[in-house]
Amino acid sequence: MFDLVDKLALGFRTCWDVVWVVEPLTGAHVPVPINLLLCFLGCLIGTLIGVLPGVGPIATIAMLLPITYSLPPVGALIMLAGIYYGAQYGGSTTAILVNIPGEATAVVTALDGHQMALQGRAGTALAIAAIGSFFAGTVATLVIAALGQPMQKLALLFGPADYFGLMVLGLMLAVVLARGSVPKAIAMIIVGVLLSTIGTDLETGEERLTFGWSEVSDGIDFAVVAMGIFGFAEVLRNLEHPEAREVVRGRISGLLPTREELRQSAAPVLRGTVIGTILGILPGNGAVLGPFASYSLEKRLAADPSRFGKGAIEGVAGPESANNAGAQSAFIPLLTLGIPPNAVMALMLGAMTIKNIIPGPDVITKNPDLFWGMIASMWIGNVMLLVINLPLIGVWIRLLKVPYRLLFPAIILFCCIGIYSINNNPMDVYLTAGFGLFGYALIKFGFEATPLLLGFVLGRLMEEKMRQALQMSRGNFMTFLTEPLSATLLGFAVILVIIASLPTMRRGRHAAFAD
Amino acid sequence: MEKPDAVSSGDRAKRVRGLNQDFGAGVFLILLAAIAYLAAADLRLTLPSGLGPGTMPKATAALIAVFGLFFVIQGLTTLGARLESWSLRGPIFLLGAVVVFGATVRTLGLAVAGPAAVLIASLADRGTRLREILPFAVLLAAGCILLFRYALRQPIPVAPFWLGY
Repeated sequence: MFDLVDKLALGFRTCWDVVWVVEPLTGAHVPVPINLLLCFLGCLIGTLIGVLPGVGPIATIAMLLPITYSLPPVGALIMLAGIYYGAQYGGSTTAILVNIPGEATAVVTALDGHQMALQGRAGTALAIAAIGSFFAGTVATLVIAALGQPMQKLALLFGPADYFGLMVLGLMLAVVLARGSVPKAIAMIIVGVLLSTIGTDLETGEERLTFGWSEVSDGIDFAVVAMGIFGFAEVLRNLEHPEAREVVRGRISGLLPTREELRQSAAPVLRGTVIGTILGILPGNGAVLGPFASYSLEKRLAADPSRFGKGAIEGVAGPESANNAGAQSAFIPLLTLGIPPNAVMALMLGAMTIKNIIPGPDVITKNPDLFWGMIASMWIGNVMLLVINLPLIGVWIRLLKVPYRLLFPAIILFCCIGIYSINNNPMDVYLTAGFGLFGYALIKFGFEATPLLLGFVLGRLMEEKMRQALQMSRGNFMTFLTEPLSATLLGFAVILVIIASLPTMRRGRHAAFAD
Repeated sequence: MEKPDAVSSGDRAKRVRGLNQDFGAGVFLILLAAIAYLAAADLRLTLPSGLGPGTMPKATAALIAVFGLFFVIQGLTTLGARLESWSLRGPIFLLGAVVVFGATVRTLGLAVAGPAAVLIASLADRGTRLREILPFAVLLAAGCILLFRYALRQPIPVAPFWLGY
C-alpha cells in the first residue's frame, strides 16, 4: 500500500518536472513544468480536434502523432494520452450538442444527452458528463496503479513461446470482441503482420519486400500507415457519406447541475465506473461495450424506464462514466503486457516503439518515471478536462458549425505537413497517399482497418519472439504446444475463434453490436 | 459514425451472389499475397540458427492467399453485400493534393505547397465555392507556417525562392 503511494508520488513528481527556459524579454531563467504543459496542450488540442465533426479520437491521434516525435518520451506519451481523452471527451460534446457521436463510445450518450440539449439542458448534460468522467477517471487511474505491479510480475514468467501465444490470444480477443466479420478481421491482422516485415531483417540485415526502395529499408513508419488508413481513408469515406448536422441553437444556460440532478446521477456514475473499468481491460472493443452495458443497466434499474431516450440524466451520467473508465483501464494490457487492446492503444504502442520503449513487463522497472508519470498525468489530465471543457463550451459550439467542406482540406494539409516533418522527406508523403488509397480499397471491400493496425504494431515483436522460441527449441515447432503456458494461451485463441464462428454466436454478436 | 454492418443491414434486395463484396475482397487479398510472395521469393526460409528472414513474409502471404480463396468461394456461393462503387473524384483530388504537396514542398515551400494542397483537395467536394476556399487556403497556409516553422521550429521550407529557406 505504501509502495503504491510512493510510486504515485514518483508519478506526480515526474509530471512536475521543470525545464529552465530563458525568457526572451527580460533574459531571466524561468521554470516551466514541461510535462504539465504538454498534458494541458494535449487535452486542449485533443478536445479541439475531437469536437470537429467527422474526426474521431483515432484520426485525431494519428494526425497529431508527428508533433510528438520531437518530444522526449515521457512528455510525448503524456501529451498523446491527453490528446486521447481530450478527443474522447470532444466526442461526447458532439454527441450531446449535434446528436453526432464523434466515436463509437459516445453513441449512447447521444440518446439522452441530445434530448437534454433540445430541452435547453445542454449545459447540465455536458457538466454531468464531465463530472462523471472525472470521477471514473480518478478510480480507473487508481486501478491501473494497483494492478500494474502484480500484472508485471505475472508477465515476467513468460518465455518467448509464451509471449508469442499471448500476442496471438490478444489479437484474437480483439477480433472477436470487435464488430464486423471475424474472418475478414483475421485476414487484416495477417496483412498487418505482412506489412510489418517490410524493411531490414533484424538477424541477417537483408532487405525484405522493399522493392529496392531505400526509403523503406528501416520499415514503414508507423505514422505513415496510421495516417493513410485512418486519416485519408476516413476523409474519403466521409465525403461519400455526408452527414446532416443540426447544432443546438439558442443559449446554453445553467451549466451546473442542481442538487437533485447530482443526487440522481451519483449511483449511475458509480455503477458506470465499475462496469467501464472491468470491460475496458478486455481486449477488442471492451471499452466500447462499457457505455452500452451501463445504459441498459440504468434503464433496467430505473423506477420509470420510459424516461430514457427523453432526456434522463442517468442515461448520460452512467455511460459517460463507463466510457471514460474504460478509456483509461484499456491502458492496463498495453502497459503491463505490451498488448494493445484497440486501435487507440495500438497508436500508443506505435508511439512508444518510435521512442525505443517496448511496452510490456520491463517498462515499469526500466522506465518507472514513464510508467508512473503517465498514470499520474491521466489523473491530472482529467482535472484539466474539467477546467478546459466547462468554460469553453461556447467555443466548442462555434467549432461544431465549421462545415466539412472547409474542414477536410485543412485536415489534409495538417496531415501532409505532419508527415513531411517526420523525416523531412517527401517520399513519406507519397507513401501515405498510397496507404490512403489502400485504406479506401479496404473500406470498399468491407474490411476494418483496426485489426490491420494491431497486426502491424505487434508484427515485428511476434516474429522476434517466434524466432527466439524456435532457436531455443532448435527449430522444433512443437515448443509452442509443449510449453504449458503457450499451449494454454494458443488453445484459448483457437477455442475463441471456433466459438465466434459458430452460427448461433454470430447472431449473438450481431445483436450485441446492433444496439 | 460507422456505417452499419453489411450483414446486419439485412436488405435482401441489395444482396447478390457472385460479384459481391466478399468476392472482391478475396481477389484483392489474393493479388496482395501474390505481390508479397514474389517480392519475398529470394529470401531464405531457414538459417542454420533457426527461422530465416523469408519465413514470416512467405507464411503470411500464403495465409492471406488462403483467406482470399475463402472469400472468393464465399462470394460465389452465398449472398453478400453488393460491391460498392468507387468514387473517382474523392481519391483523385484528395490524394492528388497530397502528391502535389510532396512534390512541391521542398522546392517551392509551404507558402506554395500549402494553398495548392488545400485548393486541390477542396475539389473533392462538389459543394466547394472558390470565393470561400481561396481566402481560406491562404489564411490556413499562413497559420501553418507560423505554427510549424516559427512556433514548433520544424525545418520545413517556407518559400525558398524568396526567403532562401
